[in-house]
Amino acid sequence: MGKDLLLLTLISLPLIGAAINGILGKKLPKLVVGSLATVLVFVSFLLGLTLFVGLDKTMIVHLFQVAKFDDFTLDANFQLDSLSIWMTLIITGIGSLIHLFSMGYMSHDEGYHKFFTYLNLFIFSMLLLVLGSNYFVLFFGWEGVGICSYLLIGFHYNDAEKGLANSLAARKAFIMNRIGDAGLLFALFMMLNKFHTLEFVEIGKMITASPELYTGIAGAITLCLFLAATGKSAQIPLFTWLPDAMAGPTPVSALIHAATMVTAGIYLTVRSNFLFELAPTTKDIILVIGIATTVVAAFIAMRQNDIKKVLAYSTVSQLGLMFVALGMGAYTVALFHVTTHAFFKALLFLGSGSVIHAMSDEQDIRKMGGLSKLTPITHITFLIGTLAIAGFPFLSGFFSKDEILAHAWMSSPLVYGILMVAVTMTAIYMFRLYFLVFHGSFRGGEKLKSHVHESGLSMTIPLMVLAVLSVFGGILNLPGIVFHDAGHWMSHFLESTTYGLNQIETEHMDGNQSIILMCIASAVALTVLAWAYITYVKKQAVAKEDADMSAWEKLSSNKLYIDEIYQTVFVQPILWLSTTLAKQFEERVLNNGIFRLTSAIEASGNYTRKWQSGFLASYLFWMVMSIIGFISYYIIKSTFWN
Amino acid sequence: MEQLNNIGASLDFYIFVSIALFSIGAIGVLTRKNMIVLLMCIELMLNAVNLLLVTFSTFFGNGEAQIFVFFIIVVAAAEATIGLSILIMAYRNSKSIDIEMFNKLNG
Amino acid sequence: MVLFLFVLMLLNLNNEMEPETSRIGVISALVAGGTLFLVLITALRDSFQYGKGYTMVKVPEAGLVENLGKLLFSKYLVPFEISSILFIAAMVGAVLLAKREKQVID
Repeated sequence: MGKDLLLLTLISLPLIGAAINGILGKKLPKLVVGSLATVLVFVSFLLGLTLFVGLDKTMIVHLFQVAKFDDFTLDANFQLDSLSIWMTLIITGIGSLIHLFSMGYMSHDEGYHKFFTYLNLFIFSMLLLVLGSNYFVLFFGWEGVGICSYLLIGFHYNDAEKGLANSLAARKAFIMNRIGDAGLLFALFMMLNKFHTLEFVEIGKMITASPELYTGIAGAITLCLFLAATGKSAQIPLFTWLPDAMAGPTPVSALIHAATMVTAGIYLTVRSNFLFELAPTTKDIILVIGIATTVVAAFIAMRQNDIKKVLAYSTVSQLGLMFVALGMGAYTVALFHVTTHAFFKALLFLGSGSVIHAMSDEQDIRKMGGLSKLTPITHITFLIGTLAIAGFPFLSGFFSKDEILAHAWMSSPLVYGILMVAVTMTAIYMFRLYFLVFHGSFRGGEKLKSHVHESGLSMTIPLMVLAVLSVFGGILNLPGIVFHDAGHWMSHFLESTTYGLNQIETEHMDGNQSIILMCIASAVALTVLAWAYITYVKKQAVAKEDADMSAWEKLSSNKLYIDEIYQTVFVQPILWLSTTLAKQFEERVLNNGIFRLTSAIEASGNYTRKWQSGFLASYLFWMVMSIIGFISYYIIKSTFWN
Repeated sequence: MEQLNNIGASLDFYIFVSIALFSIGAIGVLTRKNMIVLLMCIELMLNAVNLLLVTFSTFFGNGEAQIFVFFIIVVAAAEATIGLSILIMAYRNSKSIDIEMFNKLNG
Repeated sequence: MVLFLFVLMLLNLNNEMEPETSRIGVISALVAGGTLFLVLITALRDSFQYGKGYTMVKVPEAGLVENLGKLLFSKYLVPFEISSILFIAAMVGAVLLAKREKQVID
């Protein structure tokens, strides 16, 4: 099989799965539905591995032409290069693990086949997004993942208790994403206008040929692209949808809202790196927004009491960190963090899913505690995930974060300082979460405690695989100090064929500084671990009730009141405008106008109706009179106006 | 030349006659309510047109207009056939030949 | 004309059946007809030959039946044949319409 055929098969397999499950899923047994979806995604992963091994240079597969216009065409093309295949491996790899997990997690759910249909459809859209060779296909995938995200957040829309909240969360995610999508569309239009093509490679070539021509438009385009990225990747100001999106089932949070979809914004930025390199202002904006997001989200995460909310804000914070890297031009570093983050955040979410499953759908960490003995595998894997995200030495998160911090240090010490605060906060809230859930005494009552049980194999296997990946993921991109030749393997791999990335010079700091920075990071992680151990295990501290909180804790717990601010600033005025228009404009202007118009038409109809009298003589009379009139008109005209 | 002028002058009379026939037909159509008379008046108007056609055909020395007159006569005959058979049907149904009975479609 | 006579005989009309006509209708029809007459005269005034001295193209054979027949059966043969179809259609239609109602198969 040729590579192009292999690539198309890879993309279409999840779609086939979605089609089969969507049409026949209701009649098939649950085991068949789940394993079909899982196996298809896994086969996609294997095909991706094959392509990954045999990758040599950028390849573009033309499927068909979608539309042809005067000076440009829209094609369904797919691009195979190191960046797209890397993302494909993350998506299908993590995706198949989460499919496997879902088979256990969703086993009691009525919408089992629906769930797997959406999941497969999501994988398909995500593959479109990363494998498309132009912004047009990317936009298709972008919207596809958006709709899948919407459907899956509101998956339990008919739940008796939380149905309404779920639907509202889905709606919020959808609207927030729409704002970002508008940015993407504007960027597309501007690019069509300027370049007459949407192909990544061709735009890149045009820009590298004569960069000075495009400096102005690049600023506008990149700003719009970044707006799209803030929507999809949950950055300030559009980040509030992501924590609410946790209303969806936990595997969805793991797959879509942690590992894959939310990194689409980062992928978009890396893909358009040639544009961003021309727009230093945009890069500065990205840097500032990234820093702000990472700090704010980490701050909010410190006093959240919902296990998934903590992880959600942690995701927002980590995404902010990736955007900091992008803002500094360290594209491969950002992708490295995307990769490791996908490992450990998927692990953490699946772990929390396992906990929630064990706790019979209880998500409040104030009611948990002491679960380490009751759910040993979940406990160990969750601990690994926590250590990885907190930057414990030599785990995957340590390396990827360290790369970003090193770049920040070279960029400016101020950025480095702020990031260190965020990283410290990350360690604090993660250890708080871990100790509150797995240590201390069980706070949920005896009745609940008797139900707590370790999850089945289909849920623990993905946990274990992800735990291994979280531990060793750092090997992909080891810093140059340890092994000079093997260092930065992933960066070199990505630079080899991805268009534009090879043109960007990445600075490398010397070994001593690098070691010092690593030591600082390790020290922070270890200190926080010790502090958290003392606070939560030795002193047995528990999460406070709202009444006992100090001012900053209240601020954190209430998410900095950002939702309320948005409500007041944006939602209320629009609501007021709508109601006013509905009352005043519609009733007074529209209704009156329309009713007057209809009655006038009715009256004129009633009047002219009588002309059809049914008397032949009168018809004939008028006919003769008309003929006389016409002929007279022409006679007069020819006599007097010639 | 004398003779030609006479023919030119006699053309005027033909035109007069045909216009008169047409107007009489029109007046008949407008005044009478008897359906048979109505149809006859329509025939009269048609024949006025035929007369004009034949006149000009002779005047310009072109025979094709007369062929058209043939066809007009043919179509008029067909029309009269259908019209009269409808009339007979109407008479059978209502025992009347008043044109005013066709006023069921008034507004 | 023969058709009209046949129909008059068939219907067996008499004076009582003659529909009434209203006086206003007659007057308005006369006015309309008279106006039509005048207007048509005016419209065709350019055709009047009196005192103009136009010469007529003299083709004496134009009106002869022989020439008409030749024209009818050469150049206008197709319309001629089509008009025969029209006649058949009219005949069939007339027969169907004028048939007695009891003979119509329901």
